[in-house]
Amino acid sequence: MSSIALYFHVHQPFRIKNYSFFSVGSDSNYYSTKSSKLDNKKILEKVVSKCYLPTNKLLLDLLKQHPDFKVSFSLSGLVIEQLTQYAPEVIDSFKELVNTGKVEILSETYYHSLSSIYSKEEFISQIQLHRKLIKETFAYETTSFRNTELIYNNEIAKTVEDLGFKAVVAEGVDKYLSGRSPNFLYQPKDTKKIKLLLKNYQLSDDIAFRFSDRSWSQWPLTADKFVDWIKTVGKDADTINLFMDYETFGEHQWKETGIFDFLFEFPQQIMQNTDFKFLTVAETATVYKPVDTIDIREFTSWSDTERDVSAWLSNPMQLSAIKTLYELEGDVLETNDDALIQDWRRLTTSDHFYYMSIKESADGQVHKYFSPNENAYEAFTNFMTILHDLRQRVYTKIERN
Amino acid sequence: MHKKPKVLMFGWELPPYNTGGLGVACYGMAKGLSLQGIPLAFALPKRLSIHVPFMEILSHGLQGVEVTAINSLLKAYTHEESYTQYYEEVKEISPNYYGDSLYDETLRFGEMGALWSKQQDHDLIHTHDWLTYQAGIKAKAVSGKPLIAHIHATEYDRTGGAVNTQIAEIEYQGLNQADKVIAVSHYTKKIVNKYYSVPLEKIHVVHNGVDLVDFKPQKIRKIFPHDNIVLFVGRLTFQKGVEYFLESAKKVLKTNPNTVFVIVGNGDLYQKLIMKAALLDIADRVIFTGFLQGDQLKACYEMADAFVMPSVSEPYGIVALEALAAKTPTIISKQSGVSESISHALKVDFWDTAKMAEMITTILDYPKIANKMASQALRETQNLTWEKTADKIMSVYDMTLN
Repeated sequence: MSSIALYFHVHQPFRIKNYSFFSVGSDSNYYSTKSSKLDNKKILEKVVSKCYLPTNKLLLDLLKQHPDFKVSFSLSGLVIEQLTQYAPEVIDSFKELVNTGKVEILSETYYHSLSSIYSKEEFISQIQLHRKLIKETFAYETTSFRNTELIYNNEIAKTVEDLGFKAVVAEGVDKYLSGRSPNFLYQPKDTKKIKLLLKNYQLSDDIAFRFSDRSWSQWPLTADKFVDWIKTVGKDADTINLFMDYETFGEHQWKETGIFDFLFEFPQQIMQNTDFKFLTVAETATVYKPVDTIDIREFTSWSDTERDVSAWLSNPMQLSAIKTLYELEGDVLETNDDALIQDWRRLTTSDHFYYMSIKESADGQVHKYFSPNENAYEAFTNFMTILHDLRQRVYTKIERN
Repeated sequence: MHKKPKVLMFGWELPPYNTGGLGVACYGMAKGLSLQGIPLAFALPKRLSIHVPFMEILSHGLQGVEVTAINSLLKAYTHEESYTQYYEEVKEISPNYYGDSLYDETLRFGEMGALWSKQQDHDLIHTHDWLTYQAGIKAKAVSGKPLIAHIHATEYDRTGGAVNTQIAEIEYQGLNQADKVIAVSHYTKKIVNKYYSVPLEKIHVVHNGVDLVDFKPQKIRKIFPHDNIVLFVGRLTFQKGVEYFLESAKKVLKTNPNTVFVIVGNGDLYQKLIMKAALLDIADRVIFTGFLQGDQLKACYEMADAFVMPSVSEPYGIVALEALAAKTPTIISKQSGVSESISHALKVDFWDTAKMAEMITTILDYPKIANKMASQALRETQNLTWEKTADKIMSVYDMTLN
């Protein structure tokens, strides 16, 4: 028997506004609500109507019609906060999905941060905060873990195993597979129980990135074709892991491309015409046994062609911004000031560093597509000016205490 | 002076639409001259709507001065590359109108300037820096009236010697065809003599002034009450020496970590400097505000504990006077004209970043002494008014006409 793990990631950052030097010391609201390109509420409402509501409805129909259909999700704390505030009906529709009993929710860092790289304590705190939020929102106890942008190495696997997670997901990076297939479970090096599921990036990205690419030799991608590929790959596979951003549906790939029809058809064809099953991430980890241990020392991720952490952490601006941010960690936490801590944590979100990328080529175009800023330099100076205000607030608070 | 001469003046830009110090200087001079009763007609390049013949009267709040915009793509501090980019943007809308290179456009602007001068009754022509020298030369050819070439910055200052030869040639023509040259400093007079072969007796030095406004230092600073602020103001170009400022900052932070370096301005080096701050690992202590003017710029002068003008070659340096007028202890590059006017400031070679850092540290560590120095410098600036500058310019007019 072989199976498919469909996993979708749902996230929206709190984008920061154009913050002037003269605001330092007098304006501690860093998030944009008005100016058009940066308006978090507007962006969220757009994604809600283009993606979250229609895709949730489509999946609910599939789940109701087909007892064997299953799907896994992770939702960052930030997207849950924003949905609760601006579009509570979406939270309700996610609850409906969870209530089918066939939907798994994965844990991640509440703030979609890079804390796994910079501070183990903060990493653990943000996972706990997220677990708590998922429990409060969906009455759901998580057992599997996905890290921000699928950032992964041995160390992270160990940390989350210690936190009690049974499964962790990562990118299937060729370099570390060294000829092995991503379509089996692996045992992370130096761990005992936790299972590693690796993304099949070929098949996942056929949907997430190439679906509407007319210059792609396989365009247009039909359900028939995709199911044929799955069958071929499935001849020697335990699990085919299809991981992608949830915003793929209707937002990155517009409705007009036929992405919704595709999402509705291909699982039904799988269930009707093949022996494949759909399993959640947690079920996959229980059903199969690891075929080998895997040793991944350097950080991998699902971003850019390098599939490492260079999308967020490679140029001097990114490195000095994140260094400055984490240098404040101890002082910020010491203030015990909830608003201050929340603002600092919202700045740990990986997206802020993504906007500071100066990569050329195709990856650079992707960065540009997602960025609310004019350019990387503007994103950087804006972020740093906000950090000045935050630092000033911390000093003032510590002085008073 | 007997009869007040009617003056035609060509400049680059005027506040509040200025991007640099030349606009500030032209405004100050025009205002000063006008107060002395000199009838002044001022022309500058500006892109106008295609429906406008070739010029348009602008309102500029300069009493007694008529300001005319002549339709042109010339912009202050433009260079080949930025001009070409601008030209490409507009050539679809206005085909066959503007010059297709910076050089051609200065010639075309010169022709238009001469055309304009025909409609103006005048006794002499006064032109500022290379961009408008052609206009001065051509207006002189038409009317035969004397020409004064005012020099605020040469191509040598801007580039450190890697000159654009076409621009240097325009400067050479303007300076040598003029009847008199006004240099903003003795520093510049020497450069004009050395590189442009203008005889010393033809060059008159007239220092710039500063508008003394009421600077009221804030008692409790809202921005950075816990930190020292060290300020730079200027275009972010090679000439202004911003890189030396960053290198000094790196050194200062070793002994005075609670210091923030504020860089006010915009320019070609903007991105490069941001990257440099990050590479020096001081980006958390450097703030780039972008271009500021008016009250916001004033606020920066007021809040600063120290001001640094690290220019590589600065004919004058109005920003230093503005800082001093706000009673901010100031460090100025020895390679500047303003150091001739001010004795109560610390002076340093732009390249000597160790010394520059030491001076900044001294100002931050000994605020009482620094403030005393600043008070004395403030008194010096009180003598440097635009009225005085205008007086000196009028005596050059007088010499030229008689």
